Amino acid sequence: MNLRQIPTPKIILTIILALFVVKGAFLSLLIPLFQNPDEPVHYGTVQHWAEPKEKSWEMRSYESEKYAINPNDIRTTNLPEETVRSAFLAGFDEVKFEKQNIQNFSTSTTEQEIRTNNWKRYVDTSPSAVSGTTSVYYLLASWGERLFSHNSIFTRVFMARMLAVILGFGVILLSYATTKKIGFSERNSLLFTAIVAFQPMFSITAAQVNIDIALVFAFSLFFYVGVVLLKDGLTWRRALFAIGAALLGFFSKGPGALLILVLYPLFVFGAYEKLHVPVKKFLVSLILITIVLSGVAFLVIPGSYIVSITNSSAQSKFSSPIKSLSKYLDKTIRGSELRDTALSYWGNFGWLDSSISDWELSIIRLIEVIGFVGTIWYLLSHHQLSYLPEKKYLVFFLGLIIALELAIRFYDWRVFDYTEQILIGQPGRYFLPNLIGHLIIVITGIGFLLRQESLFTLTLKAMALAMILLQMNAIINVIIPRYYL
Amino acid sequence: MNPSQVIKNHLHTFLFVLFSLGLFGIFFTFLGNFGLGESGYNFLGKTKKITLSPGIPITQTFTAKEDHMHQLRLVLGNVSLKEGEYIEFRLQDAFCRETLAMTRLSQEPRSQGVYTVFPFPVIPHSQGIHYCFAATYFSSENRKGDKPTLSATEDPDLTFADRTLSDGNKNKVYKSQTLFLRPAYTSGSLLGDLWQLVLRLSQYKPAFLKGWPIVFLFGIITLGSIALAALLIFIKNSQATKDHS
Repeated sequence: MNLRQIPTPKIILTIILALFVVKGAFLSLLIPLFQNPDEPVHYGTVQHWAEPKEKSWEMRSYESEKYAINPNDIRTTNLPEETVRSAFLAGFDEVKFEKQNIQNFSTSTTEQEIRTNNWKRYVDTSPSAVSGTTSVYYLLASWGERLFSHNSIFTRVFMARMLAVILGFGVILLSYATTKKIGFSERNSLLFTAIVAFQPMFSITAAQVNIDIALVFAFSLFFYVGVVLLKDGLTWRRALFAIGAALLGFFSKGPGALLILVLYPLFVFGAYEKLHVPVKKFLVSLILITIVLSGVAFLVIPGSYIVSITNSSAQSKFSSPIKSLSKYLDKTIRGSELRDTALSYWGNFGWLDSSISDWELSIIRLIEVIGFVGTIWYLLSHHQLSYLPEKKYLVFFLGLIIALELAIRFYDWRVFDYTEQILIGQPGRYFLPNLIGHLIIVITGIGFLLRQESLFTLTLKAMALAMILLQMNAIINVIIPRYYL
Repeated sequence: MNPSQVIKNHLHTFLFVLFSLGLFGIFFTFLGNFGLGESGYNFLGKTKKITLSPGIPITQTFTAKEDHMHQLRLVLGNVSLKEGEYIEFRLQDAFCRETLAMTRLSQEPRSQGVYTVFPFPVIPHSQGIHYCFAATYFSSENRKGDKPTLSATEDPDLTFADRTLSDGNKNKVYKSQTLFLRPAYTSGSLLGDLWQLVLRLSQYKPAFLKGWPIVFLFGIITLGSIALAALLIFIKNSQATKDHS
């Protein structure tokens, strides 16, 4: 068999996608029950969404129970009984954050007790600890919860994790479609798709019960719609498609609201390209439309929503916003903090207690810096290399990256402002929605510095292989020893 | 074939060889450290750091729960070993006198807080026997603040009634306290041990995925990754090099 002749791009894409699904299934099995970040809360929320409309049980009041919620004891959390007791018996508290601890493999009685349980699968305490976010992930996962209701909790959690794999599958497809659309060759698009499919943190995010993956999917869809709009121009159909992607983001997780804001500059650019009106006339119209839209937004958006995302009603612990902000930046813009964020963007698994090696992260960060410098240089230069995307796409990706960075930091700062503590933080997975844009920027910068398509392709090949190895190493030498040896 | 094409082809072969070596290295590292640590207990409550001072041993007695003990897996604290420095691990009899096995650690652990492996020849009849583990740090200079440490439990715990920790540095003995230490056992063959791992992976999992399905999934990932790597390296660009549609 001559490998140079047989594989067509479609076959390779199919292999990448198939491997992603198999890998997703394996990762869904690999991380122990509820050992992904906030998984009990997310699964408890899925169970809550799956409850029958008519509640046949009595609600207990949190106050009357006089519970003291202890973050180190899952039994004190107001989630469905089945979630809480299963988590407890599976050693949730002992294993979480404690990398020296493992589940009990010396007995099968606890497993049997969980498997055959008859515990309540609904919330019966008010207020509960379930998430208040309206997310499309909860909706879809609650359908799965009902569909597999006759199966054990192990199967139902696995299925909820597999839903994340399906959404991740969509992200892989979109990464291929996006890179092709912006002008990468078929081969380079496939190489890029492989890089995304084997990014370890994305892979694990796409194999856990969490709404994060829905947001990653929504952002990826928005990236694709955005480049279609930038390339082929604004039409009603594309505009509706973009609005749909933004709404999907909005109904995935809080930061998805950002996509609705980004729609505006995207549509403005599209309109400017399409209408061919003089700049002056366009700018005047733009200002007028902006004022009108701002007024409408002011009237339509509930004040409570603005208050909730800005925490504007909270009492600041600082004498002025400047002091608060400078203290916040001082605490978070540090080498160690940025490194932690990078680590949990590339590979810090479980409850952020099992990570890839320092040297691996150092190499990745070096590549990222080189790529970023290359992209900035490319943007500032007058060159347009045929094998690299046009600069407008890079500006679009950079814009979204900066916007998400600012949004997450703004929210984090607002919480810091009234607690004086970094409670939200910037775990790397919060930035995964920009994965496609981020990686395109990195490889484009490297491609620009190399100046030759053949060298660029060779580098992409090396990066794709390195990513496969990084993923394999994460599974074999990080996650398995952490939880099973 | 022109010379540049020949170089390119060799480069691709070189890339694939490099990938294969990388994958081999990953499996080699895994198997080199592989051992099924005891489960059934965990190290709970507050943690303390036992500082290692040059030449002064820290000892920990424990009882092996199974036969065929072949490793001790222990968590080191902050270990930054300078050139010429090392930590000596010894497995000794119950009275910490006769040395049964010894190794030297002269490199930092891969990551803080994860288990470092102390391997030794299999002890066939280890079940129920009391052993002593000793760790001694050797350094020619006196590092005051940043000496290596071992992680241990802070409070006595009846789970560890068979264990006693002795801190030679402070001349203190802590009953029912322990270093983060798990003896590991082997079933006698690599395949047997790997199957034990599969059984561990199967616990708390959906019934239809226990056992062989896990092996099957892992096999597909490994073989599929190798096949994909080969395809990605040797893929020839299609006629439509760029899609400008």
